[in-house]
Amino acid sequence: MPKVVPAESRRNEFEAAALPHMDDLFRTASAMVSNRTQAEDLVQETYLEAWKSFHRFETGTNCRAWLFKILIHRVHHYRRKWYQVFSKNESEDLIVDNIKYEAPIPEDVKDEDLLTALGRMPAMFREIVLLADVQEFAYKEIAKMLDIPVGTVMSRLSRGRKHLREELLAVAPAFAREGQKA
Amino acid sequence: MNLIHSNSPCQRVRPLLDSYVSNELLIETNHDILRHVGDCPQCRTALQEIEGTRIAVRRAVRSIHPPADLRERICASLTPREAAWTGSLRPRLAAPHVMSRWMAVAAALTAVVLSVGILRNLTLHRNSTGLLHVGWMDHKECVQAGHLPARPPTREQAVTRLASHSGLLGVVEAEMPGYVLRQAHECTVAGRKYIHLAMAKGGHIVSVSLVRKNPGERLPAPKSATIEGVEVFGFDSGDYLGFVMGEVSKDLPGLATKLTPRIQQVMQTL
Repeated sequence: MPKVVPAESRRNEFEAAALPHMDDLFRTASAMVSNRTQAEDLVQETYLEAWKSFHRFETGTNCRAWLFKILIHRVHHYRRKWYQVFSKNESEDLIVDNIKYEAPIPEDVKDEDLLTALGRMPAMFREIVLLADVQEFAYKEIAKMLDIPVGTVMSRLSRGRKHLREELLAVAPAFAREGQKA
Repeated sequence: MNLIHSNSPCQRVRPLLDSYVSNELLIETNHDILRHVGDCPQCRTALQEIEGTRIAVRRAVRSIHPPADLRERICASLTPREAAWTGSLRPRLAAPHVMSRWMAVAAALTAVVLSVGILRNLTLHRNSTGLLHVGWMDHKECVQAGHLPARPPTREQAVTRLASHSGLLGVVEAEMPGYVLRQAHECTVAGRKYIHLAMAKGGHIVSVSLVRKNPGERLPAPKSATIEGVEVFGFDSGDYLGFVMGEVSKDLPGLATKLTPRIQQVMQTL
């Protein structure tokens, strides 16, 4: 017979395990959809969904990766809903063909320029860069979250980093000058 | 793997630099790469560019901060009571962990009963939705039809007009910071008397309405629906039905969630 856990105790357990990751979830959502209000909704939906299935969560396993996986699904759902045209037109090969050259990142590049450049990146590369470079998930964890092979994570991350540098050329004038010198 | 023994070490090292920066390689491979970049300025520059990108993007994204009240809103949305909305974006999910196996079976049976079209259940469903129309009619008549006064009432006028219902004004003001009063009155629509407050923020108008229940009318769990572009959140308490309504917006479900328990408290005193 399953052990009965009082609702309040279960809720406290959920809050202790899940809420410390809220800032990182919000940052990732915000950078993924480039919209703070939508990011708030996505994070709230993530927590509600996590709460809904918390009875299936095993204490001691990676709560952070579990929450990010839910968030990624919510973001994908959001994109499917609002950006169907975008996803149809976006081909990984086409994007890679358009990457011209690798330019250096100056130390004084502004955060807002970087976020703008990030927002201009194709979504499939942006999410990998966020998960690997900002949230520092291992390739295996990212592969599991996105349901793609580890090799695809590696190639998308490499292309994503190059793409970010390329996008920075368009949004940061100081960076563009630096890039042209190189 | 000893990379440096390759005839063209740069060609072997370059594809591994991304994984090196991500700390995904074996220790021996890391050592090989470090040795190589120590001797090769081109590969060293390539490595610095990848590391520079990584550091810059991490710094930029970590400069994003969530709204101060997000944690509070998340916690509020996890309570079973506030998770009982149906048909709205955020607060609709029931807390599933409290649903026992028997409740799940009961829910499944209910779904089956509904699916074969048992008249009684269908009638109940229509009644719930129908009650939301009761609130919507007030918003439609007083706000959408352009009947808001050119000059909003002062607070004193509002208190006088609302008389014994003026407690509603204090609650609405407290829970809707940034909104200004546009209307406060008792009105009659389709033969029913409403206590109606309209609050405005920018061009967005939110109505809060109370109406006495007719026999048999009840909303034991809060309900919501979108009717002709107006999102209506309905609930009951005591002898009254209560509604929070406005054009569909991202903020409205959260606002309705915050307002509902406070308005219900006022309704119990009427």
